[in-house]
Amino acid sequence: MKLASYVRDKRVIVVCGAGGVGKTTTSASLALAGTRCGRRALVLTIDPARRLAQALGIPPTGDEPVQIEPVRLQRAGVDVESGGTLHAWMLDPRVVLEGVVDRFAPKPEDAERIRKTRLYQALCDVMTGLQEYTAAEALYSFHESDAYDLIVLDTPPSRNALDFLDAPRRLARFLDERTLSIFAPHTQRSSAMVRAASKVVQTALSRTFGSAFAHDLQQFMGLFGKLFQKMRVHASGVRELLRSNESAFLVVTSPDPAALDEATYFQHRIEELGLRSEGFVLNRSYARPGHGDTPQGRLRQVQDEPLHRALQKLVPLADLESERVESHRRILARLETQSRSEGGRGATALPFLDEAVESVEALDALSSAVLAPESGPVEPARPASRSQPDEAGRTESDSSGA
Amino acid sequence: MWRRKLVLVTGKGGVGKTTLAAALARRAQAAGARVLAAEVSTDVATASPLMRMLGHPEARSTDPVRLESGLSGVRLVPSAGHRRFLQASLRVKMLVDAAMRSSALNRFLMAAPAFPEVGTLFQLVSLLRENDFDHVIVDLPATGHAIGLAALPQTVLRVVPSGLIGDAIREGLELMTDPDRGHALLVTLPEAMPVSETMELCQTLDGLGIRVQSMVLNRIPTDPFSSEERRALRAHLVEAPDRPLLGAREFSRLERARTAMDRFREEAPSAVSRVFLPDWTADSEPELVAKVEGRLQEIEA
Repeated sequence: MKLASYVRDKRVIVVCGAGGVGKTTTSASLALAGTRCGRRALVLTIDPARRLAQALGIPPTGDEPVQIEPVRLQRAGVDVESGGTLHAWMLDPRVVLEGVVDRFAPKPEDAERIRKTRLYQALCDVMTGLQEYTAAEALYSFHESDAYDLIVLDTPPSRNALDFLDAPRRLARFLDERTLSIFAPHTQRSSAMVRAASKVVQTALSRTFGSAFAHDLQQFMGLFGKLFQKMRVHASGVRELLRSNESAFLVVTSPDPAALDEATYFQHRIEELGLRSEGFVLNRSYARPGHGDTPQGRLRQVQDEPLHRALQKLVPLADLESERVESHRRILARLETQSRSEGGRGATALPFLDEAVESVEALDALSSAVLAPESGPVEPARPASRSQPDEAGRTESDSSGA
Repeated sequence: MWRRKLVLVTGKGGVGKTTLAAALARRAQAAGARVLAAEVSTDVATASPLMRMLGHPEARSTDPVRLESGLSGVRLVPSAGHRRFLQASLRVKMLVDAAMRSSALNRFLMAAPAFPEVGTLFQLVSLLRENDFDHVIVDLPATGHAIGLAALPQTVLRVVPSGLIGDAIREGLELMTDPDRGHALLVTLPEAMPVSETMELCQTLDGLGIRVQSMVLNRIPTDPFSSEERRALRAHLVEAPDRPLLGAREFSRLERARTAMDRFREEAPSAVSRVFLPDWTADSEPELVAKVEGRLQEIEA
């Protein structure tokens, strides 16, 4: 799978995966790779990776995207084609939701009334579900505004991350007419059954939540219900955009078994939603070739006493590393097959940078890997300790594709 | 670490949070206390990692099940909490069944923001009311914002100040924020980003009035190098960057772990105790739990 073609050609890249696999970093490096190709790139993120944000000069929350100052990129030696810019925005659900209410409320007074209900205020505080939805909202409005050539959306690390794609249905679950009807006053036309059921529910709600809440809820549902009709139309616009060829979904994972399970979950979830998962990005792995000499080989060339001892102690670590390289390459090969068997484009591994990606330089190094032409299929590594080094102290494996 | 009525164990996925929760439950059990190991999950259908770690993979109930002498297990699931508060408010089982069958109400409770968490918290509080456990060790969910459950009470109280739920949530909040009765333990790994995130989480919890008792740095790799050897190897690697050396990546991992440990020592608030756990291997999960438990015992002594 060639990441370079996505950052050059797509309008939208959605990045999903478990927490702690480097999703935010990957998203930022994809956007920066787009910038380097001369595109106006925007990365929308939910995860406040504060140190990286600081390095890029992005405030923790804001009302709108912030441009990364070109001088910061220059200083870090980033090679940007003319016209390339990088914007970033750490999504604040509150800000986005305000915008939604303003845009869709039937009348300005309605917007004001919605904002005043205690429920709305709580809705802003309790992020579950809302983050995903606001991400979709932001994505759509930026796409509409045509201010960017490439938008990279970093999704939250929860299994619900893609629920925004289900927004019409999900919101429907919350706000559909039958649910609303149990709060609404009853008319003569309601059947005895419905009236009875709704009475039970209302008794339950007011007894458990107190009557003030029940009243709030009724008011909120009434107002939000109207809004919802319009949001439904909007949500289908988001869906259409994400279904089109302009968009690509990438699943990021690490070699950790729990992260791999999540990756499979996301792959299937994307398909369930009627979209196509382009492939996997394997992060934090040793799958990329890059190791050469064995410590045993080096030992012969070294006289320095402490270094000699250090190299001896490195031998078991080299064995461990070889085992990991092998196992990670098997994982990469498996992801490749897994993606292709479901109509995807395969899998690719990004290099494991030594330091955490918390500087522009490190991000740039990662974006170089994104843009680098793929080195072809990786050959299996050979465990170093079990093979005899040749006279030069080298093993002949592992130079492939480096 | 476990000597509170309510012990919340939190951290990102894959950091060994569940292992620590299980080991704490074992410690408390060994000390002769009545312990409830509770796992927060979204539904009962999936397997329970915490019960598996405790060697009882079959236990999946949302009511406390006695696993061994002094040790019980339970799963905290939103729907179980919803049922409980309906039971408490309606008092007639038939009505509860009718209400729970009402798909409209069910959908509302699961899809409305925060209601799943309210269900979980309600279940926890009612378990504490109804049973006589000395300690409840809660393994919090790994997904995203660990503060979800912790931040919830204040938000919900603003919206639902009265009624059964309001009362239960207030009770839960009091328990969580009373340092004599409840505290939190944060688990993380010796790498830069996880440590940064844990420091942030610690601040957030502090802001919510929840005391962080310990921060646990888990899976610290064994470092065989003396500082002299380390310097020599570092210099050697810098000298010839174009001639890669097998094992160098593992060496950098050790270096990163060292840096993370230093930061952990320096930056963690002084009131929070720091716990370091090695990167153990074990043949089975209960065996790993036993190793961690042994280490916790040493720390206590």
